[in-house]
Amino acid sequence: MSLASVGMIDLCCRLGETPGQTLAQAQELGYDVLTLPPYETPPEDSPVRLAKLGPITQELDGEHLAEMARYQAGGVVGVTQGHAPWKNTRVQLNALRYARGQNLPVHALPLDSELGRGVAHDGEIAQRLGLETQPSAAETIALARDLQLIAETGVTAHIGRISCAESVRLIRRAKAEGLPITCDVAVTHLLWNEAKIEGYDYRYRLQPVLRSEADQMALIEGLAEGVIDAVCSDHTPHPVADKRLPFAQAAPGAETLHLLRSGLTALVDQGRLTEQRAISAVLDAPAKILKL
Amino acid sequence: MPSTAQLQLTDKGRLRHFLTTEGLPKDLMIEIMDRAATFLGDTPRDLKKRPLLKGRSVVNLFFENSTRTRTTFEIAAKGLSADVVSLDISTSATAKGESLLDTLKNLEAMGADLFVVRHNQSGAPHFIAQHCTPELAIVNAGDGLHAHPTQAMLDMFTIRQHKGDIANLKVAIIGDIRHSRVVRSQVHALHGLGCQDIRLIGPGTLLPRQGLAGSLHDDLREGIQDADVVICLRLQKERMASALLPSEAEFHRNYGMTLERLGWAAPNAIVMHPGPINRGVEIDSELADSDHSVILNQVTNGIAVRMAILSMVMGVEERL
Repeated sequence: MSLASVGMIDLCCRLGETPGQTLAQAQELGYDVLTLPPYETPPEDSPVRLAKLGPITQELDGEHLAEMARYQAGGVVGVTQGHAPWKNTRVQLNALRYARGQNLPVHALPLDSELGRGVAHDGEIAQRLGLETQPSAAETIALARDLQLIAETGVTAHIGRISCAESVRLIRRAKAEGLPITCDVAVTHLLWNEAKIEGYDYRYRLQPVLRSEADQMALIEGLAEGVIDAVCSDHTPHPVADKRLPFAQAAPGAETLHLLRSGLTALVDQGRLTEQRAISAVLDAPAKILKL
Repeated sequence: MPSTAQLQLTDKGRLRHFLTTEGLPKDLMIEIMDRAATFLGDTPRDLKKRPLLKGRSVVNLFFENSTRTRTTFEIAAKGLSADVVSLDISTSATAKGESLLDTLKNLEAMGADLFVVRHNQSGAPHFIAQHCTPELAIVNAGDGLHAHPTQAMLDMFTIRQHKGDIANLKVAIIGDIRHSRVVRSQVHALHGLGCQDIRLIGPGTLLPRQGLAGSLHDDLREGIQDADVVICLRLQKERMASALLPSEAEFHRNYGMTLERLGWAAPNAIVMHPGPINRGVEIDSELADSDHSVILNQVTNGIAVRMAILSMVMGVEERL
């Protein structure tokens, strides 16, 4: 099997305002499975197989547990809080414990809600452009807490969309200590770094933010050595009116379905990644994570 | 995408817009200051009016309130005989539905030649310059935390007026460096004019981590030692609410400028402030009203510098 022909399994794709179009594009680009975050409403007759995540709290309010058993009966492959904030750590602990009881995997997207409010990496470029910054600690503080709670509850957990070198280090250490977690990165963060936002380029306003070149390199290395198991598209379509705005006002996220295969191919061509590892990142690893 | 520094220049290196002092060529900065000098009279009342923009229309587009800056732009534009309209467009009104681009297209249709833009979002004037018709010039009157380039140029002008060549000076800036668009523009301008010794002074929560030329100091005395120019910044009350400072009083104890503390700086040092002053917070009345203070000169110079900039972005090439 080659990277050029593999049917890809995406761990995160949003359908946007025209779900039918997104699904048709996914089919054309060779996706076999798309994982949808909570509250996406796909058409009945999707040309691509869909795996759905349910909310872990009601309306992702971070405060009241969602009816996870009902969602499970409805076929969700896991539950998540997305990037929405938790009301407090006790709710989070209870939610993970409840999910464990239901045998539901949790997909955690670590981001501290206060530090995470910044719109660009806390580096030289954002400081110069006068943008509110988001330090890497916005992710690593939440990740460290998530890892502690995963260990405490024994829930099956997947960590999604890490963006910095320190997160790679934390995951590596947790895995070495035997914590049964998996992890993914968005293809955008393997291909780009904070340099892209020069000129207030709103197309590169993402969440998590694009970080330094050193972070980008650490993510690629983390993927190559298997600390990071999978790569997803994190496809996030927005109407142009929500995107074409002064940088901080632009909705975060970009249309990236077309980047997953081409981006990994480029990394393989550059010798940063074996083809086998790239295939695993969009096939075996996500299949295992989603228990397909 | 082009950087802001690239976007503001024409192919021939002239000013197409005026968005930032970052990367602004030294000869253009000197030209702005030389041109501004020709508008100054002997007293503030004798500003020399010249009809360089007769028949042109200037729209002051203020998405964020600022009576002072808007007024100086109005006086500057009128001093050049331009037709001037000022619009206060609160950000809440645009948030209600009309996007910035829609607002812009509407105003363009009214046939303006130049927009003076103030906005609370960093990069908004850059965004407007990218999306407006090519005939329209944009002057940045302050955007978010990013830049306030006309303020910086009037400060450079004032420093040159009192202290001569900026390259040989030690310049200290005190206060909320991290959240100040004025400082960013001042530092880029100072750097571009060859200043080798820029000190940025404030408590750790108000200092930038990286990205600005200049040395960082959390000790006032060390920072202003032998400085020729001391610039105080206005302390915003919001800084206390967001847990960046305990109180105005503590800020004043550690970083407030007084006549006595000015003794640590070079003899004949000048004191500047972009205004409006919080007396007794960043600067004492005794110092603000002393001979060392050039704060009121800054206001008058602000009009002359803005006249220079408006005429240059409108392509008035006449050597004055």
